[in-house]
Amino acid sequence: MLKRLRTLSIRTKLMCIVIALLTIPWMGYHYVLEMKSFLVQGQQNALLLTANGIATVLNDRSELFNPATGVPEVLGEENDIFAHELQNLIQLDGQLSDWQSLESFTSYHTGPVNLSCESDYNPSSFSLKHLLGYYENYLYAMFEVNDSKLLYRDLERRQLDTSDQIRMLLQLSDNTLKHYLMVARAPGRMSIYLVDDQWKLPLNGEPVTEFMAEMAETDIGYHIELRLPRDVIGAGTRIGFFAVDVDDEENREIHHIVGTSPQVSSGEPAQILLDSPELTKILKGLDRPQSRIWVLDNQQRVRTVVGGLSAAPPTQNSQADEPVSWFSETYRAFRGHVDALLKRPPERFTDISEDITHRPDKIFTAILKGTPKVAQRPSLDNKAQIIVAGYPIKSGDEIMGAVIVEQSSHAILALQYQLLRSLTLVTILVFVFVLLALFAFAWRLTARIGRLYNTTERSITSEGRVLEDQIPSRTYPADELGDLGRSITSMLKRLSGYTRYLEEMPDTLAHEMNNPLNVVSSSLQILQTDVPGVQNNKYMLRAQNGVNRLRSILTNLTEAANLEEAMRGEVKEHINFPSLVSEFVDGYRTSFPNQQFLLELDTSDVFIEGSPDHLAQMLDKLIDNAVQFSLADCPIIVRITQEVDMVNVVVLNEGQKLSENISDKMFDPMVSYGKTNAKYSHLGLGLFVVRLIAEYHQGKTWAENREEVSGVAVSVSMPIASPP
Amino acid sequence: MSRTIAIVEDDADQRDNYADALRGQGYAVNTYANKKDALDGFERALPDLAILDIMLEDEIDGGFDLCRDLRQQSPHMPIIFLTARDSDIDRVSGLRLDAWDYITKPVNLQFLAVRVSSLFRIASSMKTEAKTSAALVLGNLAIDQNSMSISWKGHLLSLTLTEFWLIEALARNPGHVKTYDVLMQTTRQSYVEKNTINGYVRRIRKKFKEVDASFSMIQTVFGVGYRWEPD
Repeated sequence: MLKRLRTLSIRTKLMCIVIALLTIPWMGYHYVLEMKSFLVQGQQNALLLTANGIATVLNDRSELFNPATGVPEVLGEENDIFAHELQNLIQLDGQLSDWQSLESFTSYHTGPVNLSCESDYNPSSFSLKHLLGYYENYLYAMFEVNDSKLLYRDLERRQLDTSDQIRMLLQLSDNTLKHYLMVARAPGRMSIYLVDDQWKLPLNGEPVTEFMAEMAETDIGYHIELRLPRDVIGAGTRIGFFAVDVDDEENREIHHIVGTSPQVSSGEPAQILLDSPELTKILKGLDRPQSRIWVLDNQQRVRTVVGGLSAAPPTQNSQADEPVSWFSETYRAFRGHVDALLKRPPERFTDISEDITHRPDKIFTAILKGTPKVAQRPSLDNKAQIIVAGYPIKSGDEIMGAVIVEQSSHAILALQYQLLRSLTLVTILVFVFVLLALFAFAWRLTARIGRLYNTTERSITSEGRVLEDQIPSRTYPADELGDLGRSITSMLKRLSGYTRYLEEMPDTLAHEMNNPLNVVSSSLQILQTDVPGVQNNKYMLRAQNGVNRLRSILTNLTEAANLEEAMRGEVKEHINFPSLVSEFVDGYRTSFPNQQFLLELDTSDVFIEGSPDHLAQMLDKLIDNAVQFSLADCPIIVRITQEVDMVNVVVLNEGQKLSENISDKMFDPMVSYGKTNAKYSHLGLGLFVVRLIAEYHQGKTWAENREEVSGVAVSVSMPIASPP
Repeated sequence: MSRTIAIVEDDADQRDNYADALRGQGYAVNTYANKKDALDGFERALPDLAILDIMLEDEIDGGFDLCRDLRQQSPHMPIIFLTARDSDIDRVSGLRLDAWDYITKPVNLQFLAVRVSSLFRIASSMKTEAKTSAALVLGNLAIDQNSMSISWKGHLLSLTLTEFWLIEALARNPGHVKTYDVLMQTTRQSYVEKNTINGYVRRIRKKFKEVDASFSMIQTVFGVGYRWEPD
């Protein structure tokens, strides 16, 4: 892995570092999350404080929870009837003028709510208007019944359900149901009986006296006013009213029943919400926006609720009138993606309605045991989180109830969302900017390094010859790379100086040695003529031989250097290469009478552009080399082959093999290999000359071991020219 | 009166060896070690022939300077460069200064004497406006043995002695291959490689092509030598 990392280019590495920048938005994200939980914590504390405050206000005021002060509220699912405080005393006379202060709260009930009803129900023939109010210690109910035919009680009939009547269902806190029935024989005071659960027969003959009801006839029906003492209505009491219409005087069957709530009429009396008006009044003043305050009694029943949970209205600035350009389009699409990514909080959510009368949540149980609590719960539709803080209300040592303050964390979520969104946008912008900047930097850096690399590579040949000793410095400013460029320049200068010195060395050496050699040579000649008898002296001959060998070495030394100079001015000719080589091999047979030469021509009439003298020189060197290393009595093979647009000349000899490490250096100057005849000078310049000439002809050279026998094959490949 | 030869050579041993060899041939020899001495000597009396080294003590091109100087004073004096400098550039520069021959070290003293006498012969033949009796005419080629000059299609070629000898050797037997060994002998130099011969032939061809672009009489017999094409 680490190894693979090392092989990455600088550009890729820098890009990796850019990716490391992604930790910044990650950190930002975590910061926002932290902040959110901090804010939620703060909100929870604030809510708990609020709950505490409210609880403090309500402490030791047990009368607020006293059932006697409670006013029952008859609840249906839709048509709730609230008990409202009356401004004046109600005269129980069937006249509704003293109800005026509450007239606007009158509820209107129609409809067949009992399956026993006939299907031809007409609301204009039977309907009910109802009001509930309280004044001091009494609860008052008003019924304005629209009945086309009013039928009074017939005393002959024992059953009570045989005339127009009002039924009252009362469920006490101990769940016992009490059925009360109000009937009238004539307008005026009504009889109220406690009856069986079939609403047919009174449980005892005496009418109830603690309730009072008064009836009056009207043009379209009748009015009834009912008075109940408030202490009858204890905590947890449920109440329901029904108006019963009997129209047929003969069979006296029930024609219609209209209830104050469907629940009531279906036999299930609605729970009575024991609204504590003073409690409500106190709490109204503490109402906080977007929060809901519940007061529960120690039975976990809702005593009052103030406020409501509503989401912060979306305050999106409309940008509809903005001109639609590709940029705004892109931006909008982009924002859409970001919104999807960041889970934008929903604009609306629904939660438990304020209408419920009982909060059995576990947390409240705990609070009602005396511990203040803060918790979080999802909303009913799971779209939002609601923070719930509760504080017990005490009266002395007794726990009277609890204050519950609820608030959605929607505002915080919205804030978090906004923060995250701006963070994302800024991050993306910064990231893109940094990415571009770093990419440009990396591109420039690698381009500079690449340029430096290329220039350096180009400035020196594979043999170490310096072609260019100046790295263009204007492209390298005064930074580390510039220093490197300058350092390479100075290195190349020193190297080229040294190379030049080395290159001039053979020439200088040859020149310097030529003079003493000339002294020896000329002295020997004078000796030969001046001293009689010395001419054929064997030592004289050996000395002359030595001088000649020295001379040969010096010639070879300067040959390579002079060769390049000589070739520079050469005019190339069109040469039939195979025929040139075959003439040559004929010549070598004469020059080396003891050596066998085999010529293998795979092709004829292949032309190359070249200098015959130098090609001759090249072949001389190839043959010299082969002869030098050839075993006695083994033929030297000269092979010409054609390869698409190249012609190859291969000289093969039998003898010592090449070692691996020398084969690619053989054509370098001053490299010699194998054991050679001491009579030959072997400066290792021969194959270097071959290479120089091959390169002059745009060719290349290589050497390899022969496969079939031990020996070496030296090849030169040169491009073919089109025939003249 | 014997002819005077001036030898300018900074190496005392070589200078003395040349001088001894040439004195043995009956020439009067004046030797100089550097350019200044030589110029002083030339002021007193001009030699009949000058043998110059190119590099003289600390002057790299001292020999060229001397040659230029001598040529101004005597347009027909035979001048020989005898030097260790073997490059074509030096050769061309030397001959461009109207030197008559360019010999590279080490030199065979016998051959040196042969050259010197040959050059004297050419010089005297130029002075006496030699008859054309010694001329050998082979088609377009005319070889004057006395003045050791060769002309091609009537154009006189500017040749060194070695070049003259090589052309003469080749042209005397048209169609015959002159091997490298034979040609090496012909140059009358102490030590000659095949390459040196190739170089000479290259220069000879160039000189012919200067007067006749279509010249192709000298044929290479690869690996063996050269021959003059028969007409």
